[in-house]
Amino acid sequence: MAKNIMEFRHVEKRFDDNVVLKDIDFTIEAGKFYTLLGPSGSGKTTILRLIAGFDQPTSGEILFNGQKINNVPANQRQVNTVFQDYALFPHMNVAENVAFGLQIRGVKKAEIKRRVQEALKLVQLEGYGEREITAMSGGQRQRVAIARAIVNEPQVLLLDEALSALDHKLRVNMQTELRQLQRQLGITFIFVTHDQEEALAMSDQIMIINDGTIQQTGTPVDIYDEPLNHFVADFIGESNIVPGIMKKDYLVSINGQDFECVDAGMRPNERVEVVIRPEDLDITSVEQGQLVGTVDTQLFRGVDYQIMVHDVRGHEWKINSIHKTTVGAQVGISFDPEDIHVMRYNETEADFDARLDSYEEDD
Amino acid sequence: MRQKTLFIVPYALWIVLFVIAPLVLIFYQSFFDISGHFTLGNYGSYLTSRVYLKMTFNSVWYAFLITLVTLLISYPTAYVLNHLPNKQFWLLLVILPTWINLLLKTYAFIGLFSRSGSINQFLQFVGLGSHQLLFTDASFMFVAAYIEIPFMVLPIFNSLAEISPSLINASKDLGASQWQTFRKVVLPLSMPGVKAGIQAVFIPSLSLFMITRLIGGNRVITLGTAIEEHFLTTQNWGMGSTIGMILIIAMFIVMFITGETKQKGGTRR
Amino acid sequence: MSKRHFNWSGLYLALVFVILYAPIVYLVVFSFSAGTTMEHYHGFSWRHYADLFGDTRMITIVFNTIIIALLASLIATIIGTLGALAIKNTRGKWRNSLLSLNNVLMVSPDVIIGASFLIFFTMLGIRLGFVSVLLSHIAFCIPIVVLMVLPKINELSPTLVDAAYDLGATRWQALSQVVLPAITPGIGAGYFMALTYSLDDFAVTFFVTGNGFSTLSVEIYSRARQGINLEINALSAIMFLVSLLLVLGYYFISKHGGRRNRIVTVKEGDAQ
Repeated sequence: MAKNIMEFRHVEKRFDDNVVLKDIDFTIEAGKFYTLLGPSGSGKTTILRLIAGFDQPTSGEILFNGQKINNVPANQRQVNTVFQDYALFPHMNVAENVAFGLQIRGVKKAEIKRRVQEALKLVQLEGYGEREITAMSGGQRQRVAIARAIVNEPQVLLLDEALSALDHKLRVNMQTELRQLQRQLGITFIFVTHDQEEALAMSDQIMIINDGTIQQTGTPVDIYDEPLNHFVADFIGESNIVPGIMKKDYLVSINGQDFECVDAGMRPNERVEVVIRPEDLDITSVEQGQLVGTVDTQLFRGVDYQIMVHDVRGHEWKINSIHKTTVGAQVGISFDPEDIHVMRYNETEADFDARLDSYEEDD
Repeated sequence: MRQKTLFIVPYALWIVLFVIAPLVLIFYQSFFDISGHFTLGNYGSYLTSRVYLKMTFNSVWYAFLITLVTLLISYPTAYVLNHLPNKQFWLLLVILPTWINLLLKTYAFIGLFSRSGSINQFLQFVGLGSHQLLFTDASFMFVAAYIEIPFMVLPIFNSLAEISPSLINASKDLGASQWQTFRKVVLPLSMPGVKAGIQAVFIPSLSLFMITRLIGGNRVITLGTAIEEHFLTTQNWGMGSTIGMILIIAMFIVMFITGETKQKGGTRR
Repeated sequence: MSKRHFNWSGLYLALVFVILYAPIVYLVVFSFSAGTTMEHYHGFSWRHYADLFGDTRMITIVFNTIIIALLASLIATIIGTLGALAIKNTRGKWRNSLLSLNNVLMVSPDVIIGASFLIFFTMLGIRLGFVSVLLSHIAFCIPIVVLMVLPKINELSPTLVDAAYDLGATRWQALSQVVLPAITPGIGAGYFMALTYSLDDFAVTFFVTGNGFSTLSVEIYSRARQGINLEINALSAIMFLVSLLLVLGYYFISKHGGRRNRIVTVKEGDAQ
């Protein structure tokens, strides 16, 4: 197990009477790619600013390598930030921008030169050192901002919505590059975004944040397949979320119809929410379907079709399929027990993990 | 934190010594008579003297006329400028005269308006005969308007330039004629500029004592001239300060009027 | 656009420009006249320029004016820049009150400023002359500097200072290496505007200058009150030339500064 580099213990942050973070508790392991994912105003950027040292927590502790750093100012932390608007110094050229941190620390001229070149090479901007910032495109500025941060060899690199100003294609390219860069440097990246696609594509660990609290932490696959609650299920990917009743272990009733599932450890007849991802639903003939319904609409989206079907009981289902169907047709909908994911109301992350462990051991 | 407070020290000192203190002092001074005794007499004599009241009224009336003339000349100028290619260059040409010392420009008019100066030569040439131009109300107002034109053109130009061309197109698209577009779209949207211009012209027009002295002779007396005379000639600082307070009040009234309507214009957001 | 419409507006504009420039041209033309009045042109001559350069009183006054302007605008720029930084650091009500106080001298009529400063200096027992004129000029130049610098500071992305801290800079380093260089164009423009305000001022100086000290504006006023003197025409021609050069210089500085120091913020899809 990798060593913990950073820890938040019961951190709370208030601006005047406005509680922005409530009891934030997490640990960050060295050398991993973390993503703080949440809608705007959820508090994720505040967490980043606390780590960077631009703000101080109202209560709780922030530890860095085991040392409490609540009141260590930003300029003394071994953490560097890539800002959302890049915050490149407009009066300096590319090389001067990258050299800034080293110069401040009084590194020798020759070494600065060498390290700046190295950093520019890492972000594929070799030979751009003498360019003015205004002469660089958005994607290039992004790279300069990254180079300026990593040249200081921080133990943790913070990226605040770092890709949001780029157009879609560039953003996807940068996702791959950032992931590569993180592996190459072997340092911890903490990436803040509201874009779930980015989070899923790049991260080792995702922390979903909403309303000043961490909703769920886990690998992208865990979070996608086993969302803890309605918010996470809805925020990550597309989903059908329907109310249900857990009849007994491995049997859930949806809209009065019983389905086999793979979840257990709940009270009999407990009210639950059921998540089924649209891509797990298949359109079949009426006879083969577990549900039967009529196709309302069909949207072609390039990679697939999004089909809306209402079943005979009047419930809407969202289905993503690579096969097209006909609007108004009677179709069947089928899915496997593994495609059903059951969520309890108000379950904490700890309880959720414990429950999962309990019945998975039974198997 | 400490650095922050250090920054503000010289600036705060300036505010206290050169902004607040002088205003307080002029207010304080207005309660003293010429021999240094506390009195309310300055205000009393101001309010009961026909000379002072008439002078104030005249001054406001002149300032109003100067502002009006300046506005009537400047609005079309700003409007036309705004439609020119290279409009920034032309605007620069309008502003350039403001970089020339005010007194030199005024001085030029002494020559132009003199009994046998160029204007009179021209008038004689076209058969209108020569006239007394210098030391008249009209010449004072003309020179004042001349001085103020750029200060009126600039804000109006800026507010016109800010109007998005798509608003004009939208208006035409919705069937408005050129004139209707101007009246219903361009004019209301340029009002903030007009108000800023009025502010920039009206207040100085109340107080430009050098133009009054050089061009208007002693015929035209404005609030500014009166203050200058009381302070520097008759040495009656108390009365000068009293008139100064009147000028400050006038200034606030103008700012209040133009400011309030500015807020109304602000509802367009 | 109809052609007729263009002609009318062109004609109007031409007329306005004639009115704006006629007095200036008139002054300059007569500065080369061999005569002594502004009534009839008497053929080309440099004699008024010769008179001007031989006039030691005038030369001294020009020198005084320039010294006052350079010193006043320099000090005003320093105080004004600090003031703008201070205003930026305050919030809400305080910020608005500071801004209002800053603008008092901008909107006050010159006579009020002059008269109130006169009372102020007299009460403090400061002798009217170089010091009182210099202090007054500094005082009325400060708000101009603040108004020129503040927008530049506001343009700065707040993350820029954060970035400097993040990269290890102290408060002082962030200020001296990031903020001040980035707002240099504003500071330069502020200095420049202060310079022209100081050079141009008449009314305030007229109140606070004593008998022994004079600036150009005051001197022109007192000579103009005595009537036409073509030496003043020569002076105005030179001042016009200087103004032109200053304007050109100003536009060069602001254009040049604008290119290198345009604030880098990235807009959506700004990835050419």
